[in-house]
Amino acid sequence: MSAIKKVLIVGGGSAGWITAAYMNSALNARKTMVEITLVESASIGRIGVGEATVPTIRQVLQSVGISETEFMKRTDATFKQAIRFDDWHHIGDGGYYHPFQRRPMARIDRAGADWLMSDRSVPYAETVSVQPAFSDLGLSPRMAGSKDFGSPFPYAYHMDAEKFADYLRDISVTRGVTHHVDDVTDVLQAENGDITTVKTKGGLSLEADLFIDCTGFASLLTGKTLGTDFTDYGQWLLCDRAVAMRVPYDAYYPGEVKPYTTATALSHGWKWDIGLTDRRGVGYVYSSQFLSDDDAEAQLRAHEGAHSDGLDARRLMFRVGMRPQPWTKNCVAIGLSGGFIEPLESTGLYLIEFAAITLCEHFPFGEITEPLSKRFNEIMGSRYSEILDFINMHYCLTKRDDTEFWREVQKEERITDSLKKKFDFWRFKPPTHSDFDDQLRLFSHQSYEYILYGMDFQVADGVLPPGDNAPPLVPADVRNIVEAGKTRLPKHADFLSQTLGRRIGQQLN
Amino acid sequence: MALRKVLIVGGGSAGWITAAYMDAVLNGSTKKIIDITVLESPDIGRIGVGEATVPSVRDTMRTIGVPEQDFMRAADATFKQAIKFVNWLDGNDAYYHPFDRRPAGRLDRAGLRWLTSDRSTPFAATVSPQPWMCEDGLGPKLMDSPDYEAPVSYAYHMDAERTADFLCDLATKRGVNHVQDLMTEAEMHEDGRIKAVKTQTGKRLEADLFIDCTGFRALLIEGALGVPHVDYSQWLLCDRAIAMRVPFETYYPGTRKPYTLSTAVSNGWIWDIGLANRRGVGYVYSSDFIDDDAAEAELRAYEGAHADDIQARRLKFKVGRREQFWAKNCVSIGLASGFIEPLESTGLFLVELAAATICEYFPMTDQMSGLADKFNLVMQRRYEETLDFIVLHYCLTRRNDTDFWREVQKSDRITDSLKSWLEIYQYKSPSHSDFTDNLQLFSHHTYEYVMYGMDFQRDRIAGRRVPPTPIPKEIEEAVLKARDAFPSHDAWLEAKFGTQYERAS
Repeated sequence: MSAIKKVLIVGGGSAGWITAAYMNSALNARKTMVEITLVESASIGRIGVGEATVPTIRQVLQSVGISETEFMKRTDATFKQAIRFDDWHHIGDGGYYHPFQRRPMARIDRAGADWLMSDRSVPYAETVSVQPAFSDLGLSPRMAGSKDFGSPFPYAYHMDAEKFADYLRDISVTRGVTHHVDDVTDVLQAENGDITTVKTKGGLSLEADLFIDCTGFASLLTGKTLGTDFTDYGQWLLCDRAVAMRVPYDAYYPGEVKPYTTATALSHGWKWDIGLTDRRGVGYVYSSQFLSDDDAEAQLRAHEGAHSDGLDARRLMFRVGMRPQPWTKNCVAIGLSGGFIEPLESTGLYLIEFAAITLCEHFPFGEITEPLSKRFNEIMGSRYSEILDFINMHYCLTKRDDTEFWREVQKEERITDSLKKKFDFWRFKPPTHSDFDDQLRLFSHQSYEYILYGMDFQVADGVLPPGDNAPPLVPADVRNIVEAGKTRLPKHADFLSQTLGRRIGQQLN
Repeated sequence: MALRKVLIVGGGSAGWITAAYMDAVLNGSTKKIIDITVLESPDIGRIGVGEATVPSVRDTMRTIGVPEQDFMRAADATFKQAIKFVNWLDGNDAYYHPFDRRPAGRLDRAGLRWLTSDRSTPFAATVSPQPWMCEDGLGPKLMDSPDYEAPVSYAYHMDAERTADFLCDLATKRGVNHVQDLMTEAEMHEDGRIKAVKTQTGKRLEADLFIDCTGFRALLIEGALGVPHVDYSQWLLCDRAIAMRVPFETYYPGTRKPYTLSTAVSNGWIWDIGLANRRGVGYVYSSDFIDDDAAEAELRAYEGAHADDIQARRLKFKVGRREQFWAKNCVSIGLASGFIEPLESTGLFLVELAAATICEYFPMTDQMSGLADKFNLVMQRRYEETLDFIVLHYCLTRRNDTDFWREVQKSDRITDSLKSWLEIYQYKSPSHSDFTDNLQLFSHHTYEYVMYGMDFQRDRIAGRRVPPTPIPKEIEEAVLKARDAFPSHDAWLEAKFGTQYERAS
């Protein structure tokens, strides 16, 4: 029995540094149990998409032991309380919110059924969450003067992912993680296929017991060296390109920093719009089968407006799908090397966090054995399938027929079988707790309801008790908290400028 | 539109919990959705085993909407904070499975910490204050704790028949119809659904949905619909029980224990449960290894001479579950749906879960198969999960004093799924992600209580055992605080219900 002591993370970026920082705090807090080294290339650029997150990120920051204020200052971070989806159902649909918060419900949740029986004159999300109103009003989830992480409402962040990686690097190195900046040239294997050594241009020969592949789409260890399978998701997710721009507030300030992510459906995909403290990040995710790169860039610029004329646009290609065996031999793929799904629900960093946590839970302190890697792979595989279904749902419920792209995404063969089964089932009852049998899931019946009812999903006749067609009831607690928020929560931009000491926007335009 | 009609056949705890729960959830808010009738035979005795519960019962009672002390008074209830297992490992041992566990972070290292210590303090006592509180006879509640709430988790010991009576009164007052009559036959639709149930006095009760709470007889799900039974006896050898009620007038042991006691004996185990006014004791055994008379003698010997004149009741049971719990327009709940020995008090839990799930999946139309499939999956997993967990208690034993205990350790007496987990647990401690099912009753916490209570050996971790076993400050403080502030179990019951007993001399 050889005790695992040395871990080598290959690749920096957010995947590498989140993994390094999390493992170091989870496994080495009491006494050092693993020696962590990270090697990253100075010449390979980071991808740095995925600037929006989901609320789990706060637990990760707390586990690592990070001050929220310092983290936000270092990464130009802002708050995110929801995603707003515009024009997904039809052009000019007025949009709908997928907020993070939902009022507490009893074990048997009848909010969906109640709303379906009403005249639906108030959007569903507004009957169960205060965050659509907070988002419309541009409020911060934290009160002025509140403590780090001190909010009764769940929230996440928009942030600069590259700066986040730099910040975690600084913390991890201070705490004992070894860092090499060098290019990987060779990966050596033992006869049984295990990786033994990573060699670098600078002449380093890095040995380890467990390797973590954070080399992004290159998938240097997992894909190239070990040749593990890749499951393509292109049948269900048509988008395979993105074009992105950074719009500094010096060039254009829209008058506020929105406390939510906006995802606007365009002709052949969708545009993200994310406000940081010093700039907005915008990008168009599209399908190259239907739209050329130049047309996509032109469309993004047109949607953004004339102020974007002088800004650089960056083009990205991606392949959607995942590796069913991210842990193979003595190597674990985390981040893009293990899979990618378009960032419509901001799941990129979530999958990294989740993999880091799950690896620590299954960390091989003794020998590396199949029972552990098999469980890890099953658990990660379920996350990918779940996210695929959830993203797929945003497209296939559309009623748009203005382009080939939108007609295509509604076709039977573009919908996963498991999502079809869910739809069939939910025609007979609104989604509830017991419909989901995986407690590790990211999306609950509540998240599904936000999308389904935002996209006007219809149940079969007679499955609901007869309604009275009256306006939906907005519960008193929701109304009261919205009213209290109006007086007690600061504007998002004001909170940021006061707490983080950042001058934001106003003075510049 | 007419109300959907639900006919529950059979009273007892299954029938009345289901009736009261469905009525509260589906008819409780602004408008009535269903019309519920319970058909109950006055002649057929209730089984009335399963007097211990798990904490989910608090949420069930709260949802039904009854004040906690009303319910406790009516059901002669006491508090339960744990199960204490005695003599399960080698005939000279004991461990607790408490309900409460101090929250760990997302990564729970308590198991590993304990395994690598000298294990001089039992595992449960390092993560929960309840083993200490149980030893001290403390209750889970302060005098002024609100209904169904307490600083530590808890459930009840209660008289299941009286609970049924109490819920019957409550539900009928709220509008549930109660027909006291004997079912004679089921009338069927052409497509195989049940159309109506006929009774001895000539009544004919139609419904859209039928709920079979007829106990082991399973009159509808098996009798009318022929749904087969899946047998679990390969993994659970016990098939008999013999039970006694020991009133405190006859013998009062001096205190009512705030936990269930489960003592392994020659060919099974004995439950020992203190209610407000009596103890219930019973021996669950395997008829392949011991005959009924010998079992009764062993139970009487356990209880002592004061039990000589007390009647003992003999029960036979079949362990297993329905192949489908919901078939056509009929849902089975309670013993009609299956039975697993009450070692972890799962009987009423399975009833509560079925009642909650049928509310979630209530069929508003006659097109029910999609809902039924999902319901069946949910319930099947609960049975499988419970089976694995009960088998865990047996298969880790090192007793070899009888054929029975030698038999339960054999490989073919362990389910495949449990075997594969025990293999994984050679390499890692049970943790959060091992238990993916949303609705599970048991978690890595409960597995750890039993595994480490049964001295589970994990050879694959380094053999270093550093003394002493650390007891986290948090636990120490919780125990000190409990000793300081919590009334004893007896004192709480006496203050609220005024019952006092003299210790037998």
